[in-house]
Amino acid sequence: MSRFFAGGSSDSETESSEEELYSESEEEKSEEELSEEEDESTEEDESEIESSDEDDARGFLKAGAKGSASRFLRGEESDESEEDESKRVVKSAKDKRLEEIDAIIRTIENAKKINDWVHISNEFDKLNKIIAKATQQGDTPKLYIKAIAELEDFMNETVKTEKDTKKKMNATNARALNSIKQRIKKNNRQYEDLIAKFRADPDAFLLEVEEILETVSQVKTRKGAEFEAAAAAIRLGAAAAAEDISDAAFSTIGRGGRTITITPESIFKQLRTILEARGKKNTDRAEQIRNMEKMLDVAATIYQKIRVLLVLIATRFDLTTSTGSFMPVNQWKSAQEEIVKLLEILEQNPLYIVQEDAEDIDEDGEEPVPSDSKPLKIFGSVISLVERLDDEFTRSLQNIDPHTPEYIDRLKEESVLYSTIIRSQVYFERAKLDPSVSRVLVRRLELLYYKPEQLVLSVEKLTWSTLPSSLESEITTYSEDEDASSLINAICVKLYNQDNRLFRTRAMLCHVYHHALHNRYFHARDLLLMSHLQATIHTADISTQILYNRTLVQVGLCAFREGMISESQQALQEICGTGRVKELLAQGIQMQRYAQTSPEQEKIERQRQIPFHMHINLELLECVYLTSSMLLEIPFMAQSGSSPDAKKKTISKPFRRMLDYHERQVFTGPPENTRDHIMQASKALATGDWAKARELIRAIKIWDLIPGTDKIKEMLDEKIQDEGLRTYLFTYGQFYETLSVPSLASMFDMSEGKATALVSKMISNNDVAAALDQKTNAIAFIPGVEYSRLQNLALALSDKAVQLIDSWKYR
Amino acid sequence: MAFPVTVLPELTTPVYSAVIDSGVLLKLTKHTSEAFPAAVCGLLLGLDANSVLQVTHAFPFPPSESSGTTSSNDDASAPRSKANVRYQADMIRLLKEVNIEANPVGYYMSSYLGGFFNQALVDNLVALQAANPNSIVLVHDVTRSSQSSVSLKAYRLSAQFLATNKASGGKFSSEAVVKNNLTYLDILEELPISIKNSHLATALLQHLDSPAFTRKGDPTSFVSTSALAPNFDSLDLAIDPYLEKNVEFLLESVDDYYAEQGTFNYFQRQLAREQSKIQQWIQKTRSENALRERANLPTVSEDDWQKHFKFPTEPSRLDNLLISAQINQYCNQIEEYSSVVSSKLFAIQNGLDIHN
Repeated sequence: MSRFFAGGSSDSETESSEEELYSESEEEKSEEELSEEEDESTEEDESEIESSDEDDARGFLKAGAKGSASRFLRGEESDESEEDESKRVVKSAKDKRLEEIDAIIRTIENAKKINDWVHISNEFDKLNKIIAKATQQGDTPKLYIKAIAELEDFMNETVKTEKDTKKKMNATNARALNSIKQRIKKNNRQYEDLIAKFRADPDAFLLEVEEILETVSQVKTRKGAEFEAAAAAIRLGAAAAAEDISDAAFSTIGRGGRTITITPESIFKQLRTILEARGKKNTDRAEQIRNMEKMLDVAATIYQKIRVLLVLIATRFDLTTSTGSFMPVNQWKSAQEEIVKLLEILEQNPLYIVQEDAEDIDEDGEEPVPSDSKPLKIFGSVISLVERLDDEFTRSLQNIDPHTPEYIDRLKEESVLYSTIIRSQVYFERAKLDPSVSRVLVRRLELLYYKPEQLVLSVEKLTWSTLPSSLESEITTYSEDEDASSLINAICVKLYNQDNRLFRTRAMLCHVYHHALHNRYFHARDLLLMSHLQATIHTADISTQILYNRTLVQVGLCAFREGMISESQQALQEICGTGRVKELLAQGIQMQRYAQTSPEQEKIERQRQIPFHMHINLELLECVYLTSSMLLEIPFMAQSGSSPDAKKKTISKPFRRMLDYHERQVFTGPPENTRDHIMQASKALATGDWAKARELIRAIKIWDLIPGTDKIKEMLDEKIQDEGLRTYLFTYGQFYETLSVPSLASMFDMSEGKATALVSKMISNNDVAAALDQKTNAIAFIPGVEYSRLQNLALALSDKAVQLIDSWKYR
Repeated sequence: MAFPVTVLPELTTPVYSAVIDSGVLLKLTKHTSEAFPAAVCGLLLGLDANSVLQVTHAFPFPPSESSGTTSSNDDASAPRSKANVRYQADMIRLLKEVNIEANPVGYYMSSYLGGFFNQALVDNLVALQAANPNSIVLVHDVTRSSQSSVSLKAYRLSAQFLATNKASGGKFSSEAVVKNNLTYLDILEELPISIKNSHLATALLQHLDSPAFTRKGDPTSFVSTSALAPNFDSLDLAIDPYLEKNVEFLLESVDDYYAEQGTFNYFQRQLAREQSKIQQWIQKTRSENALRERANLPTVSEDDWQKHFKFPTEPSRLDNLLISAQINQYCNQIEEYSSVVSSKLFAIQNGLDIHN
């Protein structure tokens, strides 16, 4: 520490900067010591600290140094030390500034000696900057006053001598002097009284200054000690009356304290202030919620309770405003419980009705009381709360990683949500709030439609067992032996009969989905076609379009399960043919190679995602689509052979593309994934090797995901045999003159009757030019009926010409 | 053969026919046949005088350096390629030195079944006819030549086409096309060709045709010896390949036409949409102006729509014209061919009937 002063007298700049370094490091050291010593002191007798005065400061220093070694041995630090540390930093900044000021003043003094005004001017600027900071924090240091006072004197002197000697200074110096002269005058005006004080009694003033100067660290220690004392006092106080203090602390913070004094009378006022603060910035919603929870306890009348609950639940939903995140689970649960509570109150008090179109009730006057003839209508919307609850649930599922137990835990809460929905439905029915009934039914339907029968039944059973037995729904009366389809049917019929078009559409789609899920293909298809949705669906909102896509895909899968290959292919074509399956089904975001999506778009897209447990397995979907494409395309390719537009007429473009890619490969290893299996099976089928194709298709593992795997596989075997035979006839028919039906049947391991039937069908469709010879039981091929290339071309040309003429006609 | 004459372009009078030296014909036939199926071309030299274009010399352009990989499009635009322009200048200079007529009068090109209506041809001719209005292109169709006699045609761009090109700045808007009465039939105008032998060649032919060289009563020797005598080739009945190719190309052209029609329809829809938008805007401004007038505010000019809207650019009609011309060409070829072939077929049927 003494180094600091030793260095202070040196003239050179470099040394002074060096010394700054030293002083800093030293200061840190001293600070460390200080902290140690402070901790030390806290652990020692507190009363001693209280009594300690400035004189003891040095003593502490020593004690600190001594104690530092043993301190670590003692181990645990008290948590107060953290507090101390933070304050220590503030202090050191102040002291550092003091040191800086001192250093600058010293340089100024040095410069004065050699009359270097340029230097003085620079330093003076620096000084003023630091002082400006210092004054912001607190007092102007006396050191500074002294310095500027002296500087002014010196300046005046210099100016005087300057006038006398006239040519002592060079130009830059003179200019600096002039500028500083004005600046000093201006500057000193601010501190006029302080300077006056200094001038009046420099010694007394200086004494104080000297004191500060004495040792910077001493000052620090002293201050540290003072601070310690204060801290100790607080601690003592805390020890004395901890609880009081915490209460007092709350009362100083504000609202919390006041709410304690909530009386049933003031509830409405409070609520109004909360409602007014809604949506504004800087409103502490958590605080509001706490208040309202208390209010709920206080609320005396039913009306009050309803009012508080309505605001409380709404505020809870306001907690999560950002679109990216979801509501915390505990908040969601409380909201759910409160909704149930609200419903409970409403159930018990049928004279209170919460309605969206109710008039505002004047709450300042007498509290309204309903009478039998005139039920009390309260402004609010239970359905929107329930809907929001559902939305938040979906959103949390969207955001939770589906492969974690967390997701499953969350999913378990669906039953709670479902029972809340049913409960609200019962309430709406009773209160005859028809729009709300449809809205809640849509929600309910959307929780049910994708579930298989058993699951629906168990969910229903569970839910009704948790609800009070007094509750009963007219629309969906629960009974033990109900079946899922009739429940869905009841909900849908109710929805078909209401006015909202969107709900009708969604109900229709859910209904179709449900039918398709339960293998009722014709029901599903007829319903879908009758709805004429395919014509208008592109105008619907995106989530309905997604539902439409899901339904379409499910219908396709249903057709496949039922063995209707071409129907399945047709239904799936539109979705699977695009290569944007993920996007169309909202099951994950697909990276698009060329389209640039902005973060906003991506965010919106993320919000549309279907929760994982509702997903339709995409691999299975692809497998089904490709398999049905194979069964249609391979015979078709064999049939069209080498006609000029064979390439243009395709049943399934993606399948063709994959097949081409597969054929281009130099080496094809054993099949690894589903696609490989199907492609190799296609090749085998194209060459008539149906047995190999069957084995390959059978080896696909994903069939296990379809209920009734064996049945599906048997169905596929049969289809492969049929199509194999057709392909064989198309490909090799031209090389035969006659072909006996029994040998053909044995070749494809099928009964003669079936082979005959297949061949007859092909003949009658004009697919092959042949005839069945009954006598020898053989197929007789008729040679030479194939068109020549020129004829084919001519036909194609005439087609084209007709098209062209048509396009002219419709101008 | 002829004296070097420098003809100033502005002194030229329009020519109505072309006289081609037999040497030129042989040269270009050789060049194009050897290069077949690649499309090749070369420069024609000669003189236009007295309404007759005399083509007296020709030289082929060298195959482009990366000839193995070039598409036919590159070769088709050869006369204007940088390397060829230099080659051409060099050649002309050298020919001048040996006192050969060195006045370029056009170029020749090979074609495959008459499929020469393309942008490159038009561009070449536009460039050539700008330098010398009497420039022509000689199209030698190798495939058709192998079918029957030599198929050589001389074309140049019609006056209408040039006027349209000039009026629309190469854009070929519908307006310009209609105004100049340009149809696909008169993109090119054909010039009658006559082939002229040198006297020595005529003398040789006379000599070859003299009875001294023919032995009577032997049909085979009759066929083999006399180049100009009728032969059995014209009884060939392989109809399919030629027609097949023709129809195939025709199909392609129709497809192109379809696509072209599509783009034009798209343009028209765009235009209609834009026009309705403008109409709406004008309506809106009109009503707004009425309000503004009442409020004594300055009105917005109704002609300001130009600032807000922009019409879509019209696609060039040239493609359409060329494709139409091409289709026409194919159709004509088929018609020509089928008239010959059907008479043959009838003849054969009669022959068969007699046998039966």
